Amino acid sequence: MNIPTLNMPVSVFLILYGLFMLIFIIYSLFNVYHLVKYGYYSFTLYSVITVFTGGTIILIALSIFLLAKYNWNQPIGIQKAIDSYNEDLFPGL
Amino acid sequence: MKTLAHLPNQRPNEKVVLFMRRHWIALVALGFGFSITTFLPLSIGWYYWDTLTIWLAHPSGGPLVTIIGSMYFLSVWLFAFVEFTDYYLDTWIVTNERIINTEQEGLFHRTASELDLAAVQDATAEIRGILQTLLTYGNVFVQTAGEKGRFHFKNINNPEQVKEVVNKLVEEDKKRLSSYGAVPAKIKTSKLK
Repeated sequence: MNIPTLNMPVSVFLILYGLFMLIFIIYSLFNVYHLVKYGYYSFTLYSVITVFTGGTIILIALSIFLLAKYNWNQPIGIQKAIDSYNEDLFPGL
Repeated sequence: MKTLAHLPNQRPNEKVVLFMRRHWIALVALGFGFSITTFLPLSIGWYYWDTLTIWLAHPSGGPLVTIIGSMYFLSVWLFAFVEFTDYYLDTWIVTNERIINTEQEGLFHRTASELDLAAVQDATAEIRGILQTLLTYGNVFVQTAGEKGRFHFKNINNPEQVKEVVNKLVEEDKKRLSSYGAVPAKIKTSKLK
C-alpha cells in the first residue's frame, strides 16, 4: 500500500506539547495559589509545594533532555512509519 | 495564608478546640493510585524495553512517543497534586463558640460555612464497615434546628470522641449564652465558585 509522504515536519507535535504545557503550568499555579491562600499554615503545606515544584522541574528537564536529540525538521512519513513498524516489531509480517 | 491563631471573623475569647481533616487513609488511597498509574507504565516499558527502544529510535514516531509519555507522567503528577489540594483544603474547625466547615469540591468550587454551637441540636457519630472500625474513623453529623439541616464531618479520625467533645461544647456554649440572656444564632454559608 502506497501512502504519500506528508510535507509536515515532526515539530508540529511540539505545538500540541506547548499547548499542553501552557495548560499544565496555569493549572499548577492556580492550585498552588489556592493552597497558599486558603490552606492553614503548616510545614507540610510548604513541603508539598516544594516537592511538587521540584518534581515538575525534574519531569520537564527529563522531557527536554529526551526531546532534544531528535531532528525536528524531519518530515512525517506515514509509509515509512508503517514499513518500520512492520519490519522491526513484527518481523514475520 | 490562614493560621489557626487568626480564624476568619474571629471572636473575642474564641479558642480552637478541634481541627480536623479527613483520616490519613485518604492519603494512602491517593498514594496507591499514584503508584499504580506511575509504576505500571514504567514496568511495561521496562518489560518491552527492546520494542520501546525501536519506537524511540524512529525519526517521527520517537518524538511522538516521547511527547505522549511526558504528557502522561506530567498529568499523573498534576492530578495527584490536585487531589492532595482537595484533601488539604477540606477542614472542620470546632471552637468554643462555633463550627467552621470548609470544603473544596474540585479546583473551582469552594464552600465555607459556619455554625454557632448554640444552634446545634444533636451530634451523631457513624462508623461503618471493617476498615472504618479497624482504623477508628468515620462520619459525624451535627444536626441543627435551622433549614440548612446538618453539618457533615467526613471520614474523620475518632468520630465518637469528636461527637462527645461537640456535645460538651454545645452544652457549655448554651450555658454561657443563657447566663448572658442571649438568643442563639444561625448558620452562615458562603459559596465561592
